[in-house]
Amino acid sequence: MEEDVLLEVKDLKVHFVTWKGILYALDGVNFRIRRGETLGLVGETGCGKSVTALSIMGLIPPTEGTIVSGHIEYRGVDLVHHDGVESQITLKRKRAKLKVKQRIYKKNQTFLNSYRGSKIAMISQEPMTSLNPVTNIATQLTESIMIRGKQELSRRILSRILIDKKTFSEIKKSIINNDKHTQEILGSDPLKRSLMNQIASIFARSDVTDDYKDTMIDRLVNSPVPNKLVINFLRNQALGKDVFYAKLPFLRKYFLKFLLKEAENKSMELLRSMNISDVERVVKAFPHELSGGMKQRVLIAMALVENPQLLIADEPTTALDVTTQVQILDLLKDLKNRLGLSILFITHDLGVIADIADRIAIMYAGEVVEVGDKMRIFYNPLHPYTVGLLKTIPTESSIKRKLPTIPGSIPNMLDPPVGCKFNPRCDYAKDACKDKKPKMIEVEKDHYVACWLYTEEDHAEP
Amino acid sequence: MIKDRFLDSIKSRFSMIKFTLLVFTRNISSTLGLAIVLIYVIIALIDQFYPPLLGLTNISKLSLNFTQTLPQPPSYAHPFGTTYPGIDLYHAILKAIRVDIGFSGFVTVGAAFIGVMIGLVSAYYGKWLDTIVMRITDIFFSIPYLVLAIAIGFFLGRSLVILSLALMIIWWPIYARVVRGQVLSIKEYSYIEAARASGVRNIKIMFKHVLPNTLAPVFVQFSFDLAVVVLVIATLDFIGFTPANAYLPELGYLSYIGYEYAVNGYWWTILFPGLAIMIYAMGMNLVGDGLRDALDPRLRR
Amino acid sequence: MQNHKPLILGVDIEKTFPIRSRFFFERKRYVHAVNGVSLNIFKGETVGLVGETGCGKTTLGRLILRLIEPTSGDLFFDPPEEIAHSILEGKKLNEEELKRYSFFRFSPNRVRKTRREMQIVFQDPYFSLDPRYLIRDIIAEPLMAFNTGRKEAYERAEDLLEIMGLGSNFMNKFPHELSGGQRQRVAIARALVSNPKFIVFDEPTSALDVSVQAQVLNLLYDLKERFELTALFISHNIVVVRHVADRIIVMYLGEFVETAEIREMFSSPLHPYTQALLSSVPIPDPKTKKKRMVLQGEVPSTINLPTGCKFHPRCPLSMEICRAKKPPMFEIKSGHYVACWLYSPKL
Repeated sequence: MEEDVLLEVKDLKVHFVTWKGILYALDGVNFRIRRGETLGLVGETGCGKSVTALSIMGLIPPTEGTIVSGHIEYRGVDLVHHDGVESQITLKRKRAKLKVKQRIYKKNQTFLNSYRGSKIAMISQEPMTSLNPVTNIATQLTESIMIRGKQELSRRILSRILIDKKTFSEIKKSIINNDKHTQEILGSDPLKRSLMNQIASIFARSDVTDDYKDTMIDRLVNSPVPNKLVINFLRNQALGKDVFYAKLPFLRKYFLKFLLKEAENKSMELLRSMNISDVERVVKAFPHELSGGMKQRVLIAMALVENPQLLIADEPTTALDVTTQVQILDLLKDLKNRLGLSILFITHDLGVIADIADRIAIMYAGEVVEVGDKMRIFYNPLHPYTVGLLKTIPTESSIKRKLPTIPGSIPNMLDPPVGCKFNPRCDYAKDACKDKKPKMIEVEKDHYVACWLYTEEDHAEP
Repeated sequence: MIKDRFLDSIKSRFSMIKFTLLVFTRNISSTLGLAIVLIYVIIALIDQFYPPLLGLTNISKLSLNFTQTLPQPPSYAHPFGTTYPGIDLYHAILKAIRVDIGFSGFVTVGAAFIGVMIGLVSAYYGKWLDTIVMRITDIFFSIPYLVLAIAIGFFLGRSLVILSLALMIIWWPIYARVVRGQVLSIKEYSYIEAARASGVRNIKIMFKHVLPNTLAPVFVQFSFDLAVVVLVIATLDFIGFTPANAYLPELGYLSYIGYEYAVNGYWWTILFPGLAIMIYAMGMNLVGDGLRDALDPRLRR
Repeated sequence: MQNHKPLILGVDIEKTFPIRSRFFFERKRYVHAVNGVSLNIFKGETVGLVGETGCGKTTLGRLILRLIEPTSGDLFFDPPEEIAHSILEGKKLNEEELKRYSFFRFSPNRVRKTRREMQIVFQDPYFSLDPRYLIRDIIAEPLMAFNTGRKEAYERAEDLLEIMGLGSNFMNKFPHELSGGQRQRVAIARALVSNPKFIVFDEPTSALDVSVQAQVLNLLYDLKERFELTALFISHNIVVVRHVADRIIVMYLGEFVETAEIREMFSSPLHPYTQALLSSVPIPDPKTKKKRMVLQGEVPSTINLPTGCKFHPRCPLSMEICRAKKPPMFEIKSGHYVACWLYSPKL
């Protein structure tokens, strides 16, 4: 198990139940995402990429389908629970039925809740419908922040109150001089680190003068100190504990107000880090007043509230214009560099993948058929499906000549072909392909393929 | 060759109906409702075409027997007992079912037809026509229907036909509204635009493309209304606003007669007619619910 | 290539949508979808119309077919020679001629009859076919709308299905039994069945996967040859348009900004917007380090249009004059026109 592998999906199988039978949505998905890298998951409609994303997040509705086998390991911890027989799929006269043990399902969901948002976050395809149309952006963002991030908010407020002047100037100097070494030493204490982050975000702003930045940074620690009760409340909150007097009906609002104000500050900060220039306008606006690109940025901001390490982006730019798409892709690349974010980028557009991905996984009919480094996939595609796919894209050089196409169509997942699922459409299909499913093997360094054309030592091209 | 294709097309349409039925029967309560309704309808049909099967004669009138005016409790000879002027409740209810179902069907079909036509045309052509029609429906919605029915009956006479027409006039607005909502959304669909681009005349588009796709909620409303109209007619009779020809076999009327006697301890005189109404209404409502669920595209998995 | 007889001549087409005012006294506001556009489409050529969301290309497509009523302007469909000449030379026609020849001024009945000659394929393969109709009825409908007998119409529908590469067993199926690509082919069959002179393709492949898109594009390529189609191909993907079009028009905020023959457009795009558009199309080749022109800001609203050249707020090369006056179309080379002050002969 390598040290920096963030997510590893091993042989994931997902089945759905329909009145026409069992839908074999995923039949063995394998891939790995390392820290700080972007994996592009490419495939056509119906190949199962969205199902993969939902499975990782644990969002498959229990009445419709379930993970049948396989592992989804986040830093070594398996997110798929196999205790007992959690769910059962039965087939009765072509009608498939799914029985899920409620208790175990609930337990699993509670477990996954600790991962969702804080470690793994997701944005999906339609920014238009993912935002609540009747509240403004400020309300939605602060709501997201308040739900999970009370600890962090308290820490932020406390860091401004409790840290002494000397430490403050130390931190300030280390940011301005970009002294990474001092930053690391100071960063070991959570309070100091919180203050460091706040100063750094002011420092990184490009819309104000340096003098003003200085004023703002100084103003951070010169804010009025609230009374002892509030400090005590915040102290407990930072440790995740509630205080009884803060729960009393009338006083509750008073205490929460401090956190709410901080949440608003944090949301402005978050939006600014999305490279949005006029944050004030966006924050007060309603979703319908914003363009598609802006909405998507807001959604990315909401996803990153708890600083997750993995962002699953399910076709985030498909519904956007090309010029807006460029902006969003640049933003994601920027976030990757700044925050060390890993991204699982799902799309059917190979052009977008060529731009943003480090590594690529090609999916077909519920399986990953090829995965590897971006350059290798594009310049040495191994699987016949990958080869065919690359040829069907209209490019600069293909004008007026007819595009080569892959004959046939994607298989019916209610009754998939035996053996390699691509064999009915494959030009190179052999007898073995029709009988047995090929295993994923490493053909060259960091380039894996599941195809009978290759053996372990093979370096041939199709 | 063409004949084969014709059969194929019938088979395709049949399979759609079969599918709807399948989804419908998945739900136990709606199937139960359907069973109840079917029983009532069969009784009504037998009444209409072959009354002796149920032992009935003289369908349109209650058989009175002035020798035994006091209500008799249920017994072997009279399974439901008798009510005021010697009417055997069992026979009377069987006759009354026909009247009630017949007239509620008449009213609902009429109202649905008028309402759907008006709603379709006004929503399709839109603009001022739509506005006028909507304000008219608003007016109708604001009048309590019983009052309106009584008023009309007062002025135009109290025959069942007139009352049915009066109810039709009261009932069509709901269909116009239901259809209008559907039409407004369907109007924007690409296939309507495609038909227009193909040069199809507006009227044809309205009836062949828009109308069929609006009918789903209409059917649901229809099934609920069949029950409601029965209740309305029963209510009208119950408050004494009966048609001129006395002793019409009608469930409400029977309840009306029974009402005075029930308080004096002759409980069966009102229980059985009331139950007959209630079970029918319940059955019809279950069917309506089931239909709405069955036609909902999301639940048709 | 194509004979130079114009099939479509659009003159100063304009379309504004009124916005409902919130208060009684509020000044009326409008969405300016199309602002005074003049276009020529010659017989036998396929013109690609490219632009992003909100530029008005979809509206223009529907205006040409008069599926939306224009606010002003005229459109001449297959006009006689003298009329065509006059318009191309810029002469104004008298009232009588306009009433006779301008499609936008036809009576509803005459419009309907002309519909036979112009058809459209929509973007959405899922709702452009009535879900309650059998495929054969869907394809035969344009014929039956004009009193063709059923039998004959069905036979023709079957022929067309063959040409589309779908077997005759599709005749009795419902749309929901078909995949997206198959549905789109049915839509194309329906458009071709009445042998129209002109077809508008409104983003026909945008909703389809890459491989299905390739199949449909190949099909269109064949049809173009076989039927000598005159077509307007609307798309936001400039690379797809390259596959089927002879000439390209780039549209921004309701106006044409550049038009050129296809090879010319790709080898030397002149308008800054065209350049930005071309540079932002993702290329499936990781090695190309494209010089990307990233535009400032977002596409402005169509309600409060910028003054002068509509692109000036986002243009990296904008000058004083760009804000003041709207640039006319300058002819740079034969057939290559740009609406940009950078190319004014005077400067």
